[in-house]
Amino acid sequence: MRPNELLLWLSARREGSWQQFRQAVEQLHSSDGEANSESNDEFPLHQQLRLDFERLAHVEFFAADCEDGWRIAPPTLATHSVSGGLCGVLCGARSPALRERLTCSAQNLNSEILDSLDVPDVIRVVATDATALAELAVQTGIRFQHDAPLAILSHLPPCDPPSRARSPSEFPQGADWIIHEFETTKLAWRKIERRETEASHFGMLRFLIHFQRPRYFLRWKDKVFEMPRAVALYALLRRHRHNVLHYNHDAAALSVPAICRPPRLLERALVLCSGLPPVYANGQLTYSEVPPEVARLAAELLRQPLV
Amino acid sequence: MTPLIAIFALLAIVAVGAWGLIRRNRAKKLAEQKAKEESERFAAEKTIAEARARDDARLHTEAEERSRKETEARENARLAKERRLAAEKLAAEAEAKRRTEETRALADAQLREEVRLKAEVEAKQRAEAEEREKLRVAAEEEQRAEERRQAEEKERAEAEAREKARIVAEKEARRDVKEKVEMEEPPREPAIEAPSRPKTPELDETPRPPTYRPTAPSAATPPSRPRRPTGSRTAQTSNADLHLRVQLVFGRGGVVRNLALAPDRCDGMPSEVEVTGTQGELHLTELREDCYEPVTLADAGNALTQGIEWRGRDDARKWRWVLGGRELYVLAPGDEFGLHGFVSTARLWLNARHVVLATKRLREEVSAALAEAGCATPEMSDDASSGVPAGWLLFRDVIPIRAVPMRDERDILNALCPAHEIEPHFVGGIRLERNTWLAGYPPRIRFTGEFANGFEVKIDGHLAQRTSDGAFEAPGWDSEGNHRLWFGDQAKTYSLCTMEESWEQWQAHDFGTGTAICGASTCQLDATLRRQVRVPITNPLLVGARPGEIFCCYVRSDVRCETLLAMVSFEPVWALPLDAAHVDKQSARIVLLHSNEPQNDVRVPTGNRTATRKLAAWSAAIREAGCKGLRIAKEDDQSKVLWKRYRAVAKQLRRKMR
Repeated sequence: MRPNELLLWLSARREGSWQQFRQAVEQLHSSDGEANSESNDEFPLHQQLRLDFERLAHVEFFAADCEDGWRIAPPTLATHSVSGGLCGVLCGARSPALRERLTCSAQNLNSEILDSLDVPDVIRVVATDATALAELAVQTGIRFQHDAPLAILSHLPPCDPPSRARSPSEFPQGADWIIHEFETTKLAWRKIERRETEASHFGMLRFLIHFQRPRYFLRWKDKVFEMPRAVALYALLRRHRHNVLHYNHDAAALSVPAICRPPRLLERALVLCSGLPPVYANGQLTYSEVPPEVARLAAELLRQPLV
Repeated sequence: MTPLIAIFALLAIVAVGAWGLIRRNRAKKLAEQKAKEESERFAAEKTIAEARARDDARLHTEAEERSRKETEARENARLAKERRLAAEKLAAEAEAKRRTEETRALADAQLREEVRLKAEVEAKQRAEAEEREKLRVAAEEEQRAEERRQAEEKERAEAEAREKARIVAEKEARRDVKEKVEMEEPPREPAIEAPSRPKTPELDETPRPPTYRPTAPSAATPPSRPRRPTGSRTAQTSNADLHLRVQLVFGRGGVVRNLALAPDRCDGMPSEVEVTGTQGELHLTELREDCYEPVTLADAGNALTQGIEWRGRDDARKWRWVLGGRELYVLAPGDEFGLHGFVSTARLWLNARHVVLATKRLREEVSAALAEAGCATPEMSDDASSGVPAGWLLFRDVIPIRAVPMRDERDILNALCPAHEIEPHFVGGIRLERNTWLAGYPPRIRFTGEFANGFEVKIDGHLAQRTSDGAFEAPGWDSEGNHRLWFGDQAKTYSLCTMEESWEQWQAHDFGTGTAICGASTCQLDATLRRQVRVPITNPLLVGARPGEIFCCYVRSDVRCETLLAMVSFEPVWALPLDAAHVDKQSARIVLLHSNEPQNDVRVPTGNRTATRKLAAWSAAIREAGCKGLRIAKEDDQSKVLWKRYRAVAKQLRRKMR
């Protein structure tokens, strides 16, 4: 798969349905032939690409105005503080001409292009002050977002349990659903029977059925609420006082168990600290170059202490 | 007597006197009565005169009123007449305008109709010309096919005749030899003949399980090469057979990662459909308009041999997908079908890389057939390799370079006889539409088939050269615009276009904070132009250079944070504690954000309470921080001087506002 070409295709088409995205992945993937076939045996390629493109802030999936598909985000130079100045990461749509303009304009600055097999080229520019990056954005004709990770985190709600005012949901009916319960001690899913869903006062349940997206339910004080997976998971982890967040101050790396992937926008803020997706190793996802302040705010939103 | 006379006289005098008196009284009464009557008459006359005068006055007034009314009526009538005339004039103008517009619209409509008719005529002529051209091309192709068929038949007949002659000669020779041997040696056991290859049976009428019908040699057979689905496929009605394509995907290390079936999809079919068949119940989901998502094949060894049939239906229609069971599958590069990996096709294509799946029983025949087609020794894997179906062999890197005529009968090995028809392939690039690619990312233009001597490819009239990867290029072939590709007697077009850079921001994620998130950026919901400011959480009060520019940041109560990010409509200069008069002087600080000089030319507005309040708040915030004696966070001489100026302006403003 060639993610650069996929990003160009998405930029040219601007928006589309989920099926069109999958078709584009399939067609571009087909051009690779045998040599670069799928590498991840567990996760479908199109899902992996969707996650990567979403957390790198290139594309919005299933958001407002693109509820059934995707829409490309406008090109933005997302900056964050680094030692010795500011670092800007090119996010969103890009065209060959835009890329050329940016690289030409950034010749006097400290710029680098990190190529990867899994994500589009990461274009980073480092400057001593924000003015230089803002001017670069103006010259290139793209948006400028100062303190992008903090700006995103500042407008995210924390992973709290549902409020009392919220009306509860109901479990889906039918015998075909496969039900799992999340075990906070083992950090794993356990298959259960339907009759067991009412057993506990607190818990997180996953309902699966063939070829459909899984549905997640938080059982909280004997009531059931359908919630985003990550929000429900971190609310439950807080309830059980299970700490999963680790921060290495020396390496400025924040790590969580892979099964405890943070909410997608929070993850986007963490990824924008480096412009690189998290590294998966030993069952842990590690986000690099995360400043302490961003890590602390992310931990606050996840309702986790920063260990 | 005398007394009597005197008495009489006296009586007479008295009588005369009385008569006179009576007369005088009567005269007086008469005079008084007359005067009274006269006065009454005068009074009556006066009253009458006054009444008459009043009448006259009333009449005069009435006359004047009448006259005024008449004048007004006349004026009104005149005005009404003028208005009517004006209205009539306007109506006439409107009518004239309407008529003009109608005339113009009519003329436009006539013009459009003429243009439409002209376009229709041109389109019709063009369609007729194209139809004629198609018919001509079809006729030529038919004629060429007929010629080829005749030539092949002639060649075959000649070959058969030669073969028969050869066989007859050999028989004659053998008979002669045999006769000699029989005469010279004793009789021995007859030689055991090698078992002949079983022919694949014809397609059964009741396809359960369906059986593959091998390709048969026929000049009239249309090119076996599957075309890229056009998307304008005919809608299936009911009980229509659809294809199942076998998709084979390699993983890292060249192992078979997945063997799947890609079901066809036609116009009007649902995006999701439940099917039942030899693999049990399945749920198909649309991948694109002509194909459902590939479904991984379970028990592939048996399924490929015995065939597969799926059935699905909705309220009104039924569909049937069929993969004929066979012992040999030829898989071509999937990009021709828009799928990755390799996808099953009817026959080998010349000069293209294939994968061949065959049962172990056909090992020798397949090897021989591939050798006959000029394939270099292909790499072969058996079912001990990961992903290869049980009982099957996998031949990879099969690249035929010679066209091979098909066998006479419906032989499964005909699939290994490469077709000689020349077909173009647009491979790779970034395809935006059907025949449109992104400039800078054009497709590679390749051909498969048997290239006769003098085979030429032209792009936009320029002779194309073959490159090292087998693709054809000509000067300007990858420039922006429309291009025309000629090869043999056929032509195809393709276009390259640049990307338009007009991406817009929108409110993709809104969590009710007044600011939405889109990509890596945030945007205000009220669409006002604001700048982002980051300040310590202890200094949420922002003050600008212009008196009245003051903003208090929203401090979240649900999370603890060290800094605040606020969107402010002015450029803040100072960040102050919220209640400077009551903060700890030892720890609280003033933060300088931008070194802008204060503006002291502000007039205190009258009647604008909001502006006045803001001026007062601006002044009070600076004065309170100054009176408290708070220090500046990163203090230096310049910042100290600047802060003094701000205090002076605040003091001056306060005096103005008293």
